[in-house]
Amino acid sequence: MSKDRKRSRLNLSIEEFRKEDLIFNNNPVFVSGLGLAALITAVDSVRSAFIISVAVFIMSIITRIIGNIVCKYIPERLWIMSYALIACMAYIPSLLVLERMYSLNAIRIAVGIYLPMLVADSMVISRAEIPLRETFMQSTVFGLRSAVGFTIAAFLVGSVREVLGKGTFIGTPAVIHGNLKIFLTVCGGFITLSLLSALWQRLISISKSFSARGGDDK
Amino acid sequence: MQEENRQILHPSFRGCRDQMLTMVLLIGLDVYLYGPRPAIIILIATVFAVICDLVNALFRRSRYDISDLSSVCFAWVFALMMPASCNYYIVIFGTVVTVMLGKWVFGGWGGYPFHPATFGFAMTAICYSSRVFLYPKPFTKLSLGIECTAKLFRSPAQILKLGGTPTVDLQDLIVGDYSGPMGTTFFLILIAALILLIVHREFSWHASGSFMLTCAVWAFLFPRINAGHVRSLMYEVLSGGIAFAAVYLVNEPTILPKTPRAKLIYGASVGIFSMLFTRIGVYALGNCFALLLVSPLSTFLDNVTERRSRVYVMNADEIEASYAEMSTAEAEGSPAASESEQEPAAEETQEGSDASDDEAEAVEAEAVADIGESVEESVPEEEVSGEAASEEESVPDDPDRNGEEEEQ
Repeated sequence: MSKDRKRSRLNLSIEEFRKEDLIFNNNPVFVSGLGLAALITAVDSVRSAFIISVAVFIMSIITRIIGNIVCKYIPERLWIMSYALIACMAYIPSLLVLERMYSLNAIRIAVGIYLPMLVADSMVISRAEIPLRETFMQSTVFGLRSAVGFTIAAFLVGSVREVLGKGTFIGTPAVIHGNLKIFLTVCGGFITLSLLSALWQRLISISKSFSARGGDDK
Repeated sequence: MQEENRQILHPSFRGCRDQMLTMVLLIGLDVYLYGPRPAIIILIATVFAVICDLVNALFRRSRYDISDLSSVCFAWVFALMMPASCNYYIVIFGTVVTVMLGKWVFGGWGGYPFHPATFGFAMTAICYSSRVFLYPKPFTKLSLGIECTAKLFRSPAQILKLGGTPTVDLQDLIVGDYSGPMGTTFFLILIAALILLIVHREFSWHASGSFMLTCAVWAFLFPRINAGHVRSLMYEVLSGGIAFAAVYLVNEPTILPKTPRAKLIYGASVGIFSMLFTRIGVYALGNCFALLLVSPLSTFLDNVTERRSRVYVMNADEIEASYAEMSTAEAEGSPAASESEQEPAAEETQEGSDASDDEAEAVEAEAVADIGESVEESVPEEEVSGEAASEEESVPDDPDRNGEEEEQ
């Protein structure tokens, strides 16, 4: 009897973990489909993926924490607007951090308009659609998790597009024969993202089937 | 036996087989003009198409159907749009894109919204534009290495695109003795293949005919060269890959609209867009891009043309006939009701012709009661008791029945 209880607890905890996992099982890009605009258009190399990821890290965490505090005093229909305003505020420190690493011109060449456009991106302000209050710790942890999930997706997309499109990986030559220019275009971004998300979903289903088998064996 | 074989074979088998048989002739001519390199290109395309099918079967855990020739057919169509001097890895890339991204991503044969070979060609043209649009001259023996070292030239279509006037004779244009893609230069053979496929009832003439006619009219009315309307018509139609597109690209049966009127509109719109793409677009061959644009509209064209054909005014006799058909269909649809109706009809003939409706209803009720008794007789006693028990269990929800039981 006690073994059954333990097993049920274990299964429940795995299910709960799956629901809250924003890195693999509920990846914001490959599963939920958030932040696609920046990934498809701007992220065509590892460098641009890094720039976008740093900005998303700073903006999503700050926006989530401050938005959670501020939204207690604001009616629900104004949440999205207030989140976007907070994201505009959070854009300033993210740009300052990026400016310490790269010049403004390099940032503009790498990601263009899609860096400031992150303030209205679903990746940053999608939290405003859910009318649930969080503690400070919860909002920090969830913001961090979603940013990590986005970063993994951005690096995957950026590296695949750079290797196939430019024939390099982080600047070093990686492919012998020619470059597939189409992977540097928006069309190539769509193709890369769709193939990677299909692969990601397959991995999720494999992991689920493995865990189900493990549960049966026990 | 033949019917069984037909059931076993993939639905695409017959059409693809006929198309490939006509393509064999084009490949043979390519081998005659350029040496064995075109045959190797076709072989590579075939091998990688089969490999892609096998990999897909492995991923989907499905059985590999060897009679599904569509992948190989698409790979051949794609390869014949390439130059004979094409690098082998470009062919591999294009074949993989054609079969995996063009066909299998959309669910396999019949699921794709556009011809997979056009998608493969568009991707290859964007990625390798500097290598795909330069062609060797006929009767040059090409080397068999990965990189071809032969001198390459522009096709007449590209010269037209750049604003020049080609210097190829009419006879050479018809026979195919000029620089161009492997399969698109042999105008006479392509027209013969089109007629053969139409006679074999693989294709209908509507889409191909309207496509070629639209292109010809456009080329005649809006010439790109100063040499006159007729020469413009000659160069545009004979050197622009229009015949190849009319045979192998426009007539893909799974994409083509179903009604003849829709096919005519479809072919004409592909023609208009392909001529627009050759003038406004970057590349000389605009057929593939036009097909990518127009193919998803085929269902819409079907809907539009069907809606118009639905409007039909019936006369009084036809209305009565349709009502009679509807009543017979309803009678056939409910056999129990028809049986119960037949019995009173028989009794009516025995008793007399003027039996009332009430009597018929009574007979129906008796028939239903008889059926109920026979059902109860056939049901075992245990099940009947079980059902009764279940009915008793469900009874307390009914307040009237509860009251009766209490009175008892």
